[in-house]
Amino acid sequence: MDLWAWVNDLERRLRKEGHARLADLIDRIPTEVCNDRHDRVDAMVPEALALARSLELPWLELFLRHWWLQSRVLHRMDATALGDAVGLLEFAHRDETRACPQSVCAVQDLASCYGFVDGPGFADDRLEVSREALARIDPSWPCFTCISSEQASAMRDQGRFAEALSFVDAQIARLAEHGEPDAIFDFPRDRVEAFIELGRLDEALSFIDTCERRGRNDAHHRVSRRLDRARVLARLGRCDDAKAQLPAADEIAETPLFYWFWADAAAALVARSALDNDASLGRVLHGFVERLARQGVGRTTLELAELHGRLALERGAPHVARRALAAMERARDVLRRPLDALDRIARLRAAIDAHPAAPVPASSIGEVLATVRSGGGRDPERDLLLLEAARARFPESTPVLLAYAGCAAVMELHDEARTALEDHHRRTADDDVAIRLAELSLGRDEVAVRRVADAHRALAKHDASRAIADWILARDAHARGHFAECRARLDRVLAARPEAVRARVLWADAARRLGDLPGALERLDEVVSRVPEGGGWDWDRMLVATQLGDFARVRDSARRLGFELEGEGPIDEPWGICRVRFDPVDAEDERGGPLEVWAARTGPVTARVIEIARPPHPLRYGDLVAFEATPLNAPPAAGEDAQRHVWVYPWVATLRQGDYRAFEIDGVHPGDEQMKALETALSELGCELQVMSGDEYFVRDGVRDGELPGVFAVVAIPRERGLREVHDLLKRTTSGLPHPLTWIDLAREAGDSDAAAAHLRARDDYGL
Amino acid sequence: MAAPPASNEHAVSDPIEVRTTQVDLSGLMTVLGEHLYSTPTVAIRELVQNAHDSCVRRKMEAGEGFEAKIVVRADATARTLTVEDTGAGLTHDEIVQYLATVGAGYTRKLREQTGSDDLIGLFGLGFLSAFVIGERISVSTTSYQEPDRGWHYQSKTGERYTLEAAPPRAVGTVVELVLKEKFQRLADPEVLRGVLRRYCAILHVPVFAGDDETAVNAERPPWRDDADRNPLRARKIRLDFAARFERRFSPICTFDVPAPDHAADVRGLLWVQDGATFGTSDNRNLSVFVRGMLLDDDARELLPPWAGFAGGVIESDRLTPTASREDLQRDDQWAKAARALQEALIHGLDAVARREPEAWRRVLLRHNEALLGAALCDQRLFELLADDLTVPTSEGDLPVRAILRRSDRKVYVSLSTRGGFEEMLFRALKVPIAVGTRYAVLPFLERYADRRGAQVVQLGTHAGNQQVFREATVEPDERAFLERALSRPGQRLVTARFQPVELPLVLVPDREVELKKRLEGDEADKRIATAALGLARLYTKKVDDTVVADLYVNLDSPAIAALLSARGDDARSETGARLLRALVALMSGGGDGAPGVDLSETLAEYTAAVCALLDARR
Repeated sequence: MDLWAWVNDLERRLRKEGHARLADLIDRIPTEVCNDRHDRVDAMVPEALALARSLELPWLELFLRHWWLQSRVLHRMDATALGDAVGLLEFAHRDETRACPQSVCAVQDLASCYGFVDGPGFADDRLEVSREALARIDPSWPCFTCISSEQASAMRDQGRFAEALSFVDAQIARLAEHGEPDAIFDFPRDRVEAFIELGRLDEALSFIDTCERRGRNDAHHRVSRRLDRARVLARLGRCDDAKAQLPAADEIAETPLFYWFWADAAAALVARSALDNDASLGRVLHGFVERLARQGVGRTTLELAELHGRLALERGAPHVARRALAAMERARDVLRRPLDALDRIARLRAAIDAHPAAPVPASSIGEVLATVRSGGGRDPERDLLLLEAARARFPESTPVLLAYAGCAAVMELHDEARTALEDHHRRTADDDVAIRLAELSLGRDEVAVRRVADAHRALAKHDASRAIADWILARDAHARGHFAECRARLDRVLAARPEAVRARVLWADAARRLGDLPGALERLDEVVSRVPEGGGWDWDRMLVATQLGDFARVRDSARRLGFELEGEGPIDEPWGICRVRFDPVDAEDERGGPLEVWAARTGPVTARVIEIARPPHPLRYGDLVAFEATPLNAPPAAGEDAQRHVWVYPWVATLRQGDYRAFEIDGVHPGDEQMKALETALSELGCELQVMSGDEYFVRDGVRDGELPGVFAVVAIPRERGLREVHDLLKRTTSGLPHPLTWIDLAREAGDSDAAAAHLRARDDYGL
Repeated sequence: MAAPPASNEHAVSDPIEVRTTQVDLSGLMTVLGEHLYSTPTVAIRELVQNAHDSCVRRKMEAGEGFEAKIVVRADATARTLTVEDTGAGLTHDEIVQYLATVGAGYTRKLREQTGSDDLIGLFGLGFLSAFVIGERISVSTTSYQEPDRGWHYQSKTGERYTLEAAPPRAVGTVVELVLKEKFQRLADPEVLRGVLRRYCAILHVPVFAGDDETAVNAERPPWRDDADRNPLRARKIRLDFAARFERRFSPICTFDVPAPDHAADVRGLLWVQDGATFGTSDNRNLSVFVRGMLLDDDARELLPPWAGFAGGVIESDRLTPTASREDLQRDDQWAKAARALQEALIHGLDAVARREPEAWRRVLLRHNEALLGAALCDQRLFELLADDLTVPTSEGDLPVRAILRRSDRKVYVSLSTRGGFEEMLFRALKVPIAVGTRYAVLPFLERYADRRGAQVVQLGTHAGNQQVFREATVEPDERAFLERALSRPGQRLVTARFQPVELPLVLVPDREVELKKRLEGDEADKRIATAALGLARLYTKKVDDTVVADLYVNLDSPAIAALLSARGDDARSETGARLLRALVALMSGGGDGAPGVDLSETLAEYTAAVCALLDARR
């Protein structure tokens, strides 16, 4: 049975029955898999599966689960999908699914998954499974190709390259007899691998070129061909050509199947001095090894780690090689049959041991840290080497440990950093180390944070140190938005460490968010009385004091920060333009209007909204708002005009509402003088007119053909002002104009329905 | 400027020549008519295009001193269609060499010589398309090179034609088709006007339908309007233009192509649709004009697949049509154009988010789901959208921040389609649970958690359960007591602390054990081939089947605390334990299917416990 004919039929039927969404997904999922866009596959499959299950379409469920495994196993090399592959095999052999043409493919998914765990170790089983499956089907089955490919892969894993090639070619011949003359292009991987291993590089190259012209053209195959070309060309010594073909490592990051091929090409280029063997190459390979190891891949991880270690040694980084060796040892435990793994591990270990000893570390801690700092992080491998040596020499030094942990994190050695911190913490119960450890998980992993806090409380030698546990938990509670809990924990911190500054600042922040402004101000006053220099707490203090109307304190903190605010009472300075952003969640009732508005900054933490929102959006014009002084946007980039840069601040509170209503005015521009007069007249009624259009706004000439300069404006009217009064004023001021201005809504709400009707007619005449 | 080969070899000694086109056309006509072109209206486009190229040629070769213009007329009674232009016209030799030789258009030659992008034709097939819809074709022409001579060409099939001298006319060409009967509707002036509006909307040379005073392409496309108009006005012009092309929805907002500060060989306008259809999320549509002529009105593939809500019109002189000229070749230029459109969309969405809050709100409202997927495809989009989008949860659609605020910076996600213990837990937890089976939800949340510092807890997975039920240890004798009191054969007791405290126990079945049972049963041998089954059993062999379910006991629950405190009192503790065991069973779907649970036994225990309680009171 033709699988794709069934899929197409099903798609059509689903569309007809109104399940267009599911039909779309069926259409797109295999395409996205073939183009290595696995994030999209992951986005679509759960929905498609849920739909297929709810419609009780087991064949479709099988199809979808198979394609998900294609993505996860065959492209992403995720051997942890083994359980799902086993589950699919079972599902594919139930009564309701056995007849589905995709059911045989479940065998391939499972066999490949084992192949990725340990290719050679499971080669016999994979061969048997493939033979068994091939005996049941003929070339008309779509899985004939895949299962043949699996068999060839198993043969190569046994080192039988020539045999694998002739087997594949025989299968291609069978497919040709069956009317598939182009089947050769369905086995690019099998043929290229065999050619490379057999040293038939020219054949490999010409085959890849033919595939380029006539083979599959999806992104996966295109990238695959570039990698293969790079490998072959590098081996042929055509290094420039090879480099031109080799994709950047991050281009293949989401397709771990390609890792080995990329590393193979890179190693061949390094061997011919065409590629730098440096720390950045090391970092790429480390990333590859880690990801594969995490995904339960055994054999390939082992071999990739070996390559990584060998290259590290070549560039004089035995400490990196040692880590690669450890990765090999871990990978060995995954293997079913170690075969030569132990020899490989022993060889790398011997090479590392034979390597000259690490440089003698600097004589003092200060010197080590200064050397590392002076490098500016340009060579993290060197830094790591220095810091490792320094740690051996100064095992109890916390600054060395913290520098080391930072460097390890840069090199993506996160587990190592954590372990080192934990070890050190267990021995020393150092407060800074505990905080650093907790920071790895703050707001992300409550369990881990709690573990650190518990450990610290148990290990700490005195109350002040034990309070660090509460400090950690308080920060975590703050990050999770539990401000009451945060404040309660900080009370304990402050009881044990009455002079703590940061705890007070955080306490004040939590209090402010809980609405306890006087409490917050009191704490901030305490901070200010203890710390002579101005700091972030002064900004916090100005915000809270502003909200409380305590302008003396605002001025005091401003002075501490180095600027003087003249006078007394409310602050109203001309501090330029900014934007204020409302939080859609905090300002739940504000939803529906623009989230960011233009405002005139009137002081350190206050601004008056000057943007009149177009009706029907909520009008904030004239509102006096308080904001947090840490801007939301980045400072102007180098080369950007700093004068034109506008800061965006997060809204905190509306101190006073403007209380206006807004209406649109639209029509033919009456001339600057008239507009000015209108503006003045309106301002006498306390209204604000804002012209939103510019010189290039044209409207249709309602009388003759052609265009006239237009004007579009918004007028904000104080709520206490009668609308009729404003309407009459507009009418008076514009009565002599040759072309009308219109204010339909205002006229209507002012109760002048005749005028409103006239404005409506004008709108049509002038195309407003 | 290169001139066409001017030969007078065929000087007009004979009043009428009868010649044969240099190719066997009988088969070609069928191919053209039935296969190459999807619709007969394409023939009209081809003829207008010839007229256009002729005007361009005259401008290139003879200068600007004439008014370029194309008039297309239809006469329903006579069943004729005429295309008249003020272009270069043709000499006798040019008719022989170019008009009547298949695949040898003059345009291609001229373009190759001059590198001009203004010419449209490429394949030299355009004129032949007239024979697809016409049963008799005549051409009257006077070349600018010989303004005092005229020529009249006539043919019925394209294979044989007559060519005779005629009185000179104004420089230019008029092609008249007597339509085949089955294409009669093309002679309807209204149909014709519609066709011209579609195909020629942005053509540079004015095209008139019949005696219309205004050209069908009088309105310039907004991107060719260089005047920097007022933004309000510019927005309106663009929306109006978009509305002409978007047939199903009105546009919410538009984006210019290329994005500001982006160089690209493609220009045009994209928009977001104000609406979505039920069921499908892909309503992309894109009209592509090449050298001013509509080539493909279904080039959706040029738009990124995540933009199911986008429509657009673009023009490019670098895209290459296929021979049918109804589709585009997927070459490097195509890929570049696709990239330019993607950039324009991303920049455009960003600009709308900043400058058109009301439009942005509508975009979010209409296309939240599609945008969840889009956010995964581009980091910039993710940053733009992460806090504005909502995800479906057990309590309706919520922004992720709102979920995090409710649940300790964690997002609980359920991937289960059926009930199960997860569902019960959701209700008990009283926090919103994200619906992971909806499009893009889980990967979106994972990315959000990764970038913004939060935690995704997948309910029903091993890792997720560890997060929900935080294991906690008790004294060994307490543990032994709890095991005796609460767990049943096959259940592993796990002491833990979890929310809500009102929930004393949760039973979580081990799905791997279920799989093991099915694969290791005899039935599997009958169904699954030996070697494959062997491989599968390698896996299930490692699954411990002595435990079919984990029973999580909540140490924070007052009920469990009470049970522990009643440890010395067998009668009291047994009554409590019975009630708790019954609670587990009943919550696990009434006992059926819950591992280690028997419904009738459960009910008997429950009854006994209630009786014991009431007896004790008495």
